[in-house]
Amino acid sequence: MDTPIDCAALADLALRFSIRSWAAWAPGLAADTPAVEFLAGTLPDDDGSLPDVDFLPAMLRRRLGRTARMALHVAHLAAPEPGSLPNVFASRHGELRRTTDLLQGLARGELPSPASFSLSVHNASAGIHAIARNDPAPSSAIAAGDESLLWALLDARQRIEQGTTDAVLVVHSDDAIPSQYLPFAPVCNRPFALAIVVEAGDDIALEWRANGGDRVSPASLPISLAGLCAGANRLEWHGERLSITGLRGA
Amino acid sequence: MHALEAAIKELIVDALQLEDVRPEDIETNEPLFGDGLGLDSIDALELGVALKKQFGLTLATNDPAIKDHFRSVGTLARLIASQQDAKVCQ
Repeated sequence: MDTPIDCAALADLALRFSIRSWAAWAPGLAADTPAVEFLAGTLPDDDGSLPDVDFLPAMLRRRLGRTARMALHVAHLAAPEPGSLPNVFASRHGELRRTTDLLQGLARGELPSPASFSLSVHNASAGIHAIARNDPAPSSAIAAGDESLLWALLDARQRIEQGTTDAVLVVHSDDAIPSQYLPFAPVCNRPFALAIVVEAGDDIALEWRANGGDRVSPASLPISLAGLCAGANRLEWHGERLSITGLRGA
Repeated sequence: MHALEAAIKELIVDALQLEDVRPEDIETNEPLFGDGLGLDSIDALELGVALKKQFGLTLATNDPAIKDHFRSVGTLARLIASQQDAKVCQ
């Protein structure tokens, strides 16, 4: 399923941006969680709680699953004001729990739920976000393995460079994957959502290269990057294919 | 017919996960879509599947009268009752 990335071709790429605002959500996460805890991935255990999405009309929020609730919650915290804001919604696994339920129903010979199917697609959160805000701004939905957030940020930065917008809302949300997929679980398999309103600037610099060693970081890229958002000066993240260095104020 | 209408109202609240609506809040003859209860096109599909599961309702998607059948709880109850009567006759 995973197509190998030509890391050599990407080796010289770096990404610079500034953070206009940001927000993170995880079960039990304190608002003043220090940067080191994000970098180490030592967040509270999953208590099954759901983030608040009461800002959405009841008819829009009624069927949302946890991944979408998390995405829309942090998107609203980072960009609460109405108005048009181009956005990128990223997720490694998307609505995997919902898709798994649909597949299990099909295997039992049941008719799939049309409503559940409509919310299982990868841009479902982006769609609900656009409807709720009445915002026709351009929107993408990205899934790119454990680097999904990196490519979402690159997408955002490219759009700013093209001059069509001065800011882009980047949202990444993943729930823990369902038990059926545990043999394929990533090192960091915990619910976490991060939203960043990205603008032009040099606050943050990310550089990446092929992960030459077999070292994989305990925290996912979104959790690690939240550490940079929370004030850490430096981030070293090792994923399944890439290693990323992040610097603040470089 | 009243019991059937009540069962349909309960099904609508359950299947469509209406948070702020109780079955008894739904008027038998109020429109389900648009201005009435405010359901959308995905709800129409979801409701069709739920009615099929619970009442064995069969729907032909090319039936021009389908919009009229889905207008309200009352019209749905009459459709289900007529199909059940037809099955008894067979």
